[in-house]
Amino acid sequence: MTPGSPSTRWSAFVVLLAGAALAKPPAGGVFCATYPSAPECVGKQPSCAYCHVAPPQRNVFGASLEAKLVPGASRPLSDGDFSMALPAALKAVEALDADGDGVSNLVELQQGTHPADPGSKPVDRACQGSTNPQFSVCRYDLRYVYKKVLLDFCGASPTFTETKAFTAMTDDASRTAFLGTELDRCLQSEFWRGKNGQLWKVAHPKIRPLGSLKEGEDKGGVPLADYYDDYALFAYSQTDDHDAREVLTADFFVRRTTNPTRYTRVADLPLSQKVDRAHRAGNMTTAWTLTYFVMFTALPRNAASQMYRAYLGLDIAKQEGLYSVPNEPQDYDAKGVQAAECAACHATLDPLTYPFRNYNGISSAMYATRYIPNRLELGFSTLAPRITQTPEAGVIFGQRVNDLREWATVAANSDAFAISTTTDYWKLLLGHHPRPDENAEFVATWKRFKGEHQHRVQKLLHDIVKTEAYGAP
Amino acid sequence: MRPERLVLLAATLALGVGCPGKITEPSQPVTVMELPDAGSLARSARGNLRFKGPERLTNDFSNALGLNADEVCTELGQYQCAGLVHTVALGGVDPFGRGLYEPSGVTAVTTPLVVDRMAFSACTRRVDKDLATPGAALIFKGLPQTGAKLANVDGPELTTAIGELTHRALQRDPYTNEVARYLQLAKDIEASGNAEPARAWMQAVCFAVLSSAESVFY
Amino acid sequence: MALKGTGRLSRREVMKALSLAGAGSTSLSPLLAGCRQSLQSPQDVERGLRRDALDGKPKFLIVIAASGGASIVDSFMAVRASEAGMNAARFNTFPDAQVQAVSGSPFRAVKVSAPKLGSIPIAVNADQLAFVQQHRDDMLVAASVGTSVNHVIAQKRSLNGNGAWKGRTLQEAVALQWGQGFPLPNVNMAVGGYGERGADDSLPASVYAETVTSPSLWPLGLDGARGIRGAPSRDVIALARGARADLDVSSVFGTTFQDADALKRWRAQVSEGARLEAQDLITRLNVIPNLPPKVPLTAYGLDSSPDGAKVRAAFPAFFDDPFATQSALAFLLLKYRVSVAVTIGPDFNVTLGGASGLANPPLAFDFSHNDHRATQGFMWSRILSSIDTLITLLKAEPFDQATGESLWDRTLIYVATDFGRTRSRPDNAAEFGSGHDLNNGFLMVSPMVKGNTLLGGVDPATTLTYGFDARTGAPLPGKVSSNEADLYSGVLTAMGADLSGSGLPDASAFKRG
Repeated sequence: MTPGSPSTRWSAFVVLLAGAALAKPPAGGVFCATYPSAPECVGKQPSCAYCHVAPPQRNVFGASLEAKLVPGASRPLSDGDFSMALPAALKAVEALDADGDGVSNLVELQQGTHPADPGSKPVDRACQGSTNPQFSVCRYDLRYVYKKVLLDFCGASPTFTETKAFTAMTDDASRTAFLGTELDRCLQSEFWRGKNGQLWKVAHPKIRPLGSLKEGEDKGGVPLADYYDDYALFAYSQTDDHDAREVLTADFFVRRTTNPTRYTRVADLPLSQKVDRAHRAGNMTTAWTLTYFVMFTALPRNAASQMYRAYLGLDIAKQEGLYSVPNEPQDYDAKGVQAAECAACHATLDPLTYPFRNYNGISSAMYATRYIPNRLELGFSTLAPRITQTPEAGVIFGQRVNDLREWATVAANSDAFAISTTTDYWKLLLGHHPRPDENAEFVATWKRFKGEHQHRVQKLLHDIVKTEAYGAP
Repeated sequence: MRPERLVLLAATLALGVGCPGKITEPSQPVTVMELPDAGSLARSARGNLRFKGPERLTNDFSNALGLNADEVCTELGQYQCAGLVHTVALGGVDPFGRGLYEPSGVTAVTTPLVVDRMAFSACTRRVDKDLATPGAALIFKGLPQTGAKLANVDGPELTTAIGELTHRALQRDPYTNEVARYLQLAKDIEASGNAEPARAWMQAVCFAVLSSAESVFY
Repeated sequence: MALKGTGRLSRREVMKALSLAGAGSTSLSPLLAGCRQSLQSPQDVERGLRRDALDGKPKFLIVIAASGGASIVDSFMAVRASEAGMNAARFNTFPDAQVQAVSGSPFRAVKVSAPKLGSIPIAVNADQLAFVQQHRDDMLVAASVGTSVNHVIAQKRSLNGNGAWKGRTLQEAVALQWGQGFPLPNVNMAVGGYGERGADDSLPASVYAETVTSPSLWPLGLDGARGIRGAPSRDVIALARGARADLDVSSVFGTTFQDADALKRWRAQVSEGARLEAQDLITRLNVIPNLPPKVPLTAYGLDSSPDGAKVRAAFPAFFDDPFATQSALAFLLLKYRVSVAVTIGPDFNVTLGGASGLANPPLAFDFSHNDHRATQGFMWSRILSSIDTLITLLKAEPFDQATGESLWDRTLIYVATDFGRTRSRPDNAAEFGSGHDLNNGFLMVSPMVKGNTLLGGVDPATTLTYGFDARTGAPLPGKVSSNEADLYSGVLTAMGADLSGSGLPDASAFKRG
């Protein structure tokens, strides 16, 4: 290390911040052990933002908690002392109303609203459930759902004649059965599965396309990779009787044909995809992902964090999904991430990133967007003294994985994947994240998706349509 | 922006998703329903309305007026309103060009104006077609005219046209207050001294139905 | 290597160009979040801010989003090799002659000439001297340390000071302060984190940004019927809207959902639309000229802005370059008192055009991964050129004849950027790639800032910037902790915003007078 190098600089940060109390990675687990039925703990854990604005700065709930956390003890508390003390501190502030919104902290955490945000509090949506000429208000309304299903999945309202025919059906059982048939019909539509259709909209923030770098169809000014392959695999995994997990685990590719749009599994796409079959992990290893998220980087934390965010719903930049790994981060690329204020996130992020070590991004055609054994040794050996010591094995959700394919398998089988997938469609179909008053239905829905439905999105969509949240005006 | 570039963008982004095309469903008898007293109507507590957005609006306007999707609205006669020029104002995304990957989720200040443009554009085209070939008119058929005026602003033909519009745009029969208000609109237009009050009324009633909150939210 | 007839580089050329950085570039180090030190609590903050009395007259903020990381040591805080001693070869220092002194100013101006941009075969000749000489008295540069090197996160934090004031963005704060009564107080044409809404949900709906992705055609949506061939007359439109309004309220649908937020918002927006139409913004904000057959304005009853010729002359690349069109529209939005906060900026897409054939490289400033020095030179020129033209236009625009103020006198231009760039390079390399770095600095230009002022400084041995006391302006060598809240407060303090109850730090050092 040389004077003035980035690592030296980060060491300076460590000194400056010595003694500062940072967000505690064990906090989420202790919180959920204390309140196992809290909505924040069903299949997930609260992020650091539950108590912090940005660590170490606390929000009002965190500040009230801090005052009850072994007062008088010197700071910073060790993780062990912190974990021991947190349950009592949580109990001590249960009756308080940290954000002053008129609802106690305990009720807020039981209801899934945020105890530090006065704009977030339980909403009384109770209503009488009566009927008017057009709507059965507050009840599941089949006529209302019929129109919504056609708009959401086919892209157009039913006609007057269709609406009358639906209303004229003899009973609700017939209407319910017909709805299911219509939903399946619409799931075949171009509006749903076609180019730029609804499934593609779900995929945009995951794939993050950039038109000028597009290769192939709709080629851009500097064509580097064809992200339509990513859309194709995503759409394939979300349609028919396919397993949604294949978006992360597929060792195959998908070809899109048009008029009508069809997605067909193929072993290879030799013109656009370069990673060999033994090292493919769905959309995590496509030419576009490696081009745009690995780019020129030795340790592509950007790729790992984007996959974590896009497919598991966990944004490390927002302190979500932190599972600190002991003795991490090692800082193999000498970026100074061992600084205290950075290590809290990088103890999770860096082990998530190691399995990408041999996936190459942009380089000469011979090496670009491929799996290259000993990639760091071949191309990055002078980057940092310890860079070649970077292991391929990593850790996700506290579980050791030997490579990116194992990473993908653990990720795809996780609750986080099921919750994230369900949330994607909840947002698409209801226009918002699950609200506290919808939490029970939401939890039941993602659990069925993961369990009974074996990750079939088509069945998930049927379940969402059957919820009160979707079907009650 | 170079015009050639506009053309390129239009080709790239033009709405092409699941447009159902023209629906030529036969007309149904119109029943005018009594509007219940507002005080007796149950209110939604959830209030979970969603704006239709660029694709659904285009499809619904297209179906309601029997137009092809690309006939609904263009700017300067060539650039698709919903698919290119006003996509984001209508709640859409621009993922490939400007990197706007997720919709805002709420309507913008300019959204109602863009909806108005789409409705006026589509309605003007429908009215032009119905007046050009009365025998093949889809909505405004059999409306007696005296010159450029409606022959009878209280006539049953107007109620039938209102009903047809309501069927096609809102998938229900009209209420009494709607019929009354649209007949009043005909009188108001005629009183305004408009040179073509019959055409103007057809455009106006079509616009009012298509751009109503009930038509653009669901 | 040359551009093909289509204006497109061949794949082989591009791959060659981009591959050069593959082996030698430094890591993106993309996520170093959550590193911010504690903010002072409101009780702890020494107030004593000197604020303008709110005189009832608006002030304006133009944010230029320098996407990808505009490096301050490649511009106004550049370091000469002779100053860096033994580290000169390893860090991002310049040959002495390329770092030009500006007489009577703490600022420096870089002159860069490169035969190509990465391996894109366009010559880069950038010289910041004329800009600094021209505008130094309105320039303030503040050293900075951010808290994220993730593009989107860092972009957002450059606008909200990392949640410094309940998460509201600078533009939202300005729109709240001065934009009441303006048709569209906050217009945002930028992308990524620069285009995101702030986190303070308590603000009036009007202060959140109107998103504009197509500045040349967006004004067509500012009238409900103009330009629709065959549309009815205005009086018929008014009658139709009246009928619609009556029925929207009384319908079963309207009654059932009368408490829905979406419907309440919609009704307010419908009312607001009439105000937009009344100001003829479809014409006044229309940058593009009548140019049939592709732009047949006249044939559709439309017209270009009365200022159209002027802004097109000022931004001649408007046909090809969206950033030029954005800049032109930004001026018109201020001139016609439509907005008080406007955000513009180049995006990550390649834009072909201009004298060299390339208006915007892929990834904008982030093309520095490939070729740092030429990219920074090219992109800084792009940004400074836009600022210079905007200032010229705004100075020529009277604001208040009674006081003699021009529009420029009440405008602040803030060049927001994601983060800085890493400083290391192969020994003495002029062409090298850089990664993301928290250490940087920000440029503000305005008659309202304390001009010709450099807050903080740079350690020539490391080329890293160090901080300053935001109240006094005193440099604090060795201070390398985050100061996002200081910068956020600095913009608003310079503009004279009322910061009562904000809890923001005292940033009097940013303010003129």
